[in-house]
Formats: sequence, C-alpha cells, structure tokens
Amino acid sequence: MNNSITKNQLFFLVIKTQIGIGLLSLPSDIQESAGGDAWISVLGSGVVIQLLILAYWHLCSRYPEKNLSQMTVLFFGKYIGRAVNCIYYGFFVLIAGYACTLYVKLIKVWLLPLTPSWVLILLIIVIGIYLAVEDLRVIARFYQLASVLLFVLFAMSLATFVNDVHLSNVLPVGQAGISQIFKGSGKTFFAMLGFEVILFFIAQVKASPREVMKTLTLANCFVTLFYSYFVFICLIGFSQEALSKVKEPVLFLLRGLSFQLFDRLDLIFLSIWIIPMSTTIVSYLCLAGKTLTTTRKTYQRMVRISGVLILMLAIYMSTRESLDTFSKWMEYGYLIMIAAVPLLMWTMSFLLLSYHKRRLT
Amino acid sequence: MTLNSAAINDYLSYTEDLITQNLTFHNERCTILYLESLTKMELIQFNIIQPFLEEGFAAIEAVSGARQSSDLPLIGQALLDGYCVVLPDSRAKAYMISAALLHSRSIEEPSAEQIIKGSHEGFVESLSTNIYLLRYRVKSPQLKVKYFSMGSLTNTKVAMVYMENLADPNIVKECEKRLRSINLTHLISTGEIDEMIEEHPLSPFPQSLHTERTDRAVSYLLEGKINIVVDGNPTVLVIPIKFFTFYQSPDDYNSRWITGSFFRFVRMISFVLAISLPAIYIAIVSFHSEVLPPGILYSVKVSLTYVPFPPIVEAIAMQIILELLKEASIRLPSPIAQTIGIVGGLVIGTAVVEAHLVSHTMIVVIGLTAIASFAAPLNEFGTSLRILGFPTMLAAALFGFFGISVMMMVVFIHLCKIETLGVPYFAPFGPFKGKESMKDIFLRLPVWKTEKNAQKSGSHKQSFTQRWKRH
Repeated sequence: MNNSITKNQLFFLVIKTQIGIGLLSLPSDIQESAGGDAWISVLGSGVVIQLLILAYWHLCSRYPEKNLSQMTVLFFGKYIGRAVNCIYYGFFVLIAGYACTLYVKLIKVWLLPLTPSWVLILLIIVIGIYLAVEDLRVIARFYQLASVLLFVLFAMSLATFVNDVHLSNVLPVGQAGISQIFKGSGKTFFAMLGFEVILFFIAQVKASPREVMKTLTLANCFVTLFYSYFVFICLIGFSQEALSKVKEPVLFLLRGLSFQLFDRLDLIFLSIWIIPMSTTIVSYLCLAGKTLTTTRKTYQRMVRISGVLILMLAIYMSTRESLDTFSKWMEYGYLIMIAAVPLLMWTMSFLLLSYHKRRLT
Repeated sequence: MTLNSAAINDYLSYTEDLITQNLTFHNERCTILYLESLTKMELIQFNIIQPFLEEGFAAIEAVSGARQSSDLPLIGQALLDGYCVVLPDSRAKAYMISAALLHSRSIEEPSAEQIIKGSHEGFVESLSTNIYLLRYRVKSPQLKVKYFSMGSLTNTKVAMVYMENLADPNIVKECEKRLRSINLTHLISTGEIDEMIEEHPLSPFPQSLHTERTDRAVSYLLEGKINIVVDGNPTVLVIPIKFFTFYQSPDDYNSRWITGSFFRFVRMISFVLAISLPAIYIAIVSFHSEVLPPGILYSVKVSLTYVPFPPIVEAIAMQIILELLKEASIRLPSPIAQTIGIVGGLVIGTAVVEAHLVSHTMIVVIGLTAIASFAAPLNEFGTSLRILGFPTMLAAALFGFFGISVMMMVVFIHLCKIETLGVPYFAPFGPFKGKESMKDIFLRLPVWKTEKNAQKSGSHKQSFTQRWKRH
C-alpha cells in the first residue's frame, strides 16, 4: 500500500504539531526573563531547533525509510531498543495528556466554565482518535486544510494594531542582556516542541534528502516567525507589568477590540485556535502508535489504547491544582528524549554506519 | 429439447402476447414469433414477412442486425428485448431480427437542474437514446460503452460509458469489478446501483453524482470519469466524484469568468452557512452573548424575551417545519404547492412569531440557512447539508463555540478521510494542490487558462493562450 507523503505534507505536519497551545501564554512566560527582548528569544530558540533538525535530518537520511523506533532497535539492540521505545511511548502519552490538560483548562477559563473537564477531554480525545487511526496521508491532508486557519488567525491578529501600539516597549533592542535572552529561549523551546515528529515522519516522505531539508528549514522558519510575530505584538500591545499579570496575553490583546458587528474577537480567535490545539494531540497520538507498532492493524489498536491512557491521564491531571512541578520534571525528561538520545544516535551513526550497511544489505 | 415454437412458448410461460405465425415460400417453411407488446408491426411486416415471401431465407439472412442462435434462453431473451424470431422448419438455427417498439419521452430540460444559459437537453428513460445523446456530443473513437445486465428478474440493461484514453484504467477496472459483483433480483433505479457500489454508506455526503443533464455528464466523461446509465432511468451516475464538483454548475462556464467565479464564491459561503449558521446563533444566545455588541445584543434579546423555549428547541422545530413545507409542496401540482408556500411561509412564519413561540431572529436565521442549502447546484447535496446542520446545532447547544469547532473538525476530518475509487474526495484541498484549487474550484478562470490537456499522448505541452493575439 502506498502510504508515502509529499514534502509539502511534511511541512504542514511539522507546523501543525508545533503550533498549538504553547503560543497563547508564551509572551508572558518569556518576558519574565527576557523583558522587551522576548521576541529575540523566540528567534534564538528557532536557531537551536534548526540545529537539532539538522542533526535529525542527517541521522534520518543515513537510514532511509527507517523511523526513530526502528532506528533505536538497530542502534541499541533488540531489548534495550524496545525499552527505549517504551520510554518514548510513555513520554508521548504524557505530553499529549499534559497538552490536553492545558487545553481543557484554557477552554474552561475562556469558553465553558461550568462544563466538567472530563467531558471536554473525552470529546477532544475521541476526535483525536478519529483522525489519528488513519494513514499519515489522511492526517496530512487534514493538517493542510486546517493550516488555512493560520492565515485567518494571522489576519485577526492584524486587527490588534487598532489598539494603541507602544513600540517603545521593545526599545532599546537588546536591553535585557544576552544571558536573559538565552533564558527566554529556553522557555520558548518548550512551547515550540513538536518538531520531533520529523524523526518519525521523514521515513515516509517521498523526496530527495535535499528537498526534505529545505522543507524542514522552511517549516522551522515559518513557526519561528509566527511565534515571534505573536510575541512581538503582545510586547508592543502591553506594558511589562500588564504582561506579567495576564496568563494568555494573545487572547487579552484581542479582547479589547470591538467592532460594529461583533465584540470579543478573543472568543472567535480561541474557537478557531481549538483546531491547531487538537492537531497537536493528534500528532502525539500518531507518534504513540508509531513507536510501538509497525503494521496498520496493530497501529490502529495502539492509537485507541493510547487514547484511553491519555484520557485517564488528562482527567487525573486536570483535577490537580498545580502542574508546575510536574511540567518542569517532564520537560527536562523530554529534553533528554528528543535532544540527547537522537544526538547520541547521530554520533554513534558515524561509527556504526558501515557496520549497519553491511547488516542491512 | 428441440427448438420449436412449442418450446419457446413453454419458455415464455405461454404468455398470450406471444404471436406465432407460419409462412411458406416455395418449399421453404418457417415460423415467426414475436411479443406483440414489444414489437413494431410495420417493421415485422416490411423487414421480415414481405422479403421472406418474395425471396425466402436469403432475404432474412440479409436483414441488417440479424443474429443466429440455437440456444433457447438466448432466443427467449431476444424476444424479451423486442426481437422477432424466425424459426425455419428445415434448419436447426433460429434467426433473430430486431423489431423493437420504442416509446420514449421527448428530450426536455430536467426540472431539477435548470440553468439560465446553455444547453437545455436532458436524458430520457431509454438507454439507447441516452447513449445516443452522449455519443452525439463526443464524436470520438475513444468513447467506450460496456453493457451489463443486472437483476435476475428484471434483466435491466446497464451501460458503463467512459473515454478509453482519459479514464484511469485502475478506476475502470475497479468500477467494472463492483458492477459485476452486484447481485440483485431486481434493479429499478440508479440509486440502487449507487448504494451497491459506494464505499462509505455511513457518510452523509453523496459519493456519486446523479445528473439528468447531458452537458454535465459529458463534461465529466471528458475529465476521465465514468458514467453509468441504467435503462429506464433518466439519471446518469458519475463516479468517482469529488466534493467540489457539487459546487460547479454548467452555468459557470456559460457566463463570463468573473461572473462564474463570483457565483462559485457565493456557493462556497453557502456551504459554511448551511451547516453552521443556526449553530452559531444558538451558541451566541445561549453561551457567548458577549460576542455581540450591545446594540445588536439588545434587539436579539428583546425578541427572545417572551419565547418560552430554549433556542435549540426553537431551531430544530423551525427546521422541521421547513422540511415539512418542502416535502408537502414538492409533489403537489404547482397551484396547490403555491398555496402551501403562502400558507406555510407567510401565515405560519408570522403567526409563530406573533404567538411568541419562536423569535424573530430565529426566523431570519432559519430562512437564511434554508436558502443557503438550496444554493448548492445539486439538490441532494443541499439536503445532506441540512441534515448535517442538526448535529451541529446540538453540539452548539451543549458546548457553545467549542462544540461548533469540534463538529466542524469532525466534518472536515471525515471529508479528508473518504476516498471514492481511490480518489480523495476533498481534493484538491486535502490533499492540497494550490494551483489546481485556484483554477477551477474557487475561481472559474477563463477557458484559455484552464483548458485541460486532453491529448495526454502529446509529448510537448501545448500552450493554451488566446492564440489570435499573436498574429
């Protein structure tokens, strides 16, 4: 069966996974450390991600048509490789559960304060499964379609320039100092997670490695610019004190706008934003399925099982008051999984390539 | 069993409209048999009886389209197809000569698919006339017709028509396989074939296009699609079909491209409106009334003050009333239908508001939705949209804007998921092909921009510009 995707589709798979819930609260998170230079932090983390992507790409192009879970088995042997995959699986489920929790919290605060969390989580997961059980091609098709909404959201954000704009908030450029900007980059990095899907999806792309790299670079540029644009409009829209007090500055920025036909642009923005947020969860469901299985049938079953796990996890997490300690712990653990482990494999590949080549042929 | 008139009579259950007649020419003798209800007497008289009486079997053999057979079921079938059977006493084989009586409706414009400009020709019930209509428009040696006979009782003739050089051979093969697998006792309508070969019976969207317009059917033939024609039905089935084809009308191509593009755009809006407008209204008045600025909110709330029902009940009740009106008036003769329109639309519409059962704004919303759903050029698609409106309304009543977003996601995921005969249903949007989607989906660019390269075999790409400008 033909289940390859085009390089175009890869682009959308990457950006739709990356752009999600993180963006809405990002500006206030990073301005704590980077102040008026928060937008530079975003660009900085874009550069770091680009370097990681380069390593990913190099690794994947050495082992064409192998995704990460197949590579781990190749590198670490049957048993350790499987164990590593199980850890990956655990993290994908955790990340999806965590994203789901944040997502539902946001919906509860802004749209449906009285609806119980578990109902919302159930809805999100069921839709996630409905899409994730399909071929990657179908998922990519939906992502392409949903990407049109990013332009709608961008157009909406243009309306914020009707508000008072204080360019002086970001001036002078570089006021926060390099170390602070880097600190901000670190925080941004976690909001931009999602590029690790590359490790799994590259195997199915039907294009030359050069084209793939071009696509990935473009996707990264797009996401970085999209993020830094939103951070920038928040910085010039709010003073630093205001920004540190609000949790979702992007939505608050739109809240102040009023038109003749409708008020509260933020609610409309959020209603559309639901779709990018859901696609992130779909991607992780898909990854969770792909880490442990290879055939289509077992994949579908795995996605369903993962869905149930995520559901339980998210329901549990949404009952807890604070997730800060959990998220810190999880973020660092995840950093090891998506940066350290692939980089280790990449360095190993220099030594082992000739050995693998012999074994594969 | 020997082949004689008694055997044939037995095969046809001694039906009394089977006429048997003995003829003699010198020492050659024969019996002719025909079903008088299916045959034309003059044809038999002038093509068979007279020549035989003058020249004998030599004349029968010379009649155009004469077939020979000794197989009883085949002969019986031929009789049922309107053939006249000539049984020579001396030979073992029977001659079959076509003398069918064709009663056919005249070719008129189909009332369900009227257009303003362009051809007003529609298919009729007779299969051969329908194929004539297709051939008349495409005089190409590549046009290929394949006959199937379906239904063990009705023996309905079904034709699959496609362009040999344009249709994807895999699709043709798959379609043929599915048609051959159909095992019904009786086949009456095109809809039955449709249901037997469609891939997603649970989907609310139609996966094949039914049309009575010849120009429409032909234009799909030329795009490499397959037409399925069923004898006795003026509706032609077109497969594989894509979502956006339901938003194209022959009118677009008959008017100037700016006008055509504009109407395409309007129809696209109608799709979104038909599914989501009542849902958006319900979500706004029951969850997010802060979305409306005070001026509008005031007038909406005032009209809601005396209404005792929640908006979802209002909306569903009004939608059902509307469907009732439509169903009631659709089959009545037009003078009565008009009365129903007036009584239903004006009397019920105003009375329901004055009785404070439904709010003014709800009437406006439901009216707009209905009009939007009727804007789809093909009626059955509009109906699917109205049906989809109900779950969306329910989602909006339960979860507000969140519900609508979720519902829209489900609809679009579904659209991305389904494929008909291996062709993605939502193409060229999912999978996205930027250029193609602009050329003939959202816009209707001039013909010299979009002319499809029909001669695939041609190695060099022809440029389709307005050539006269160069000279």
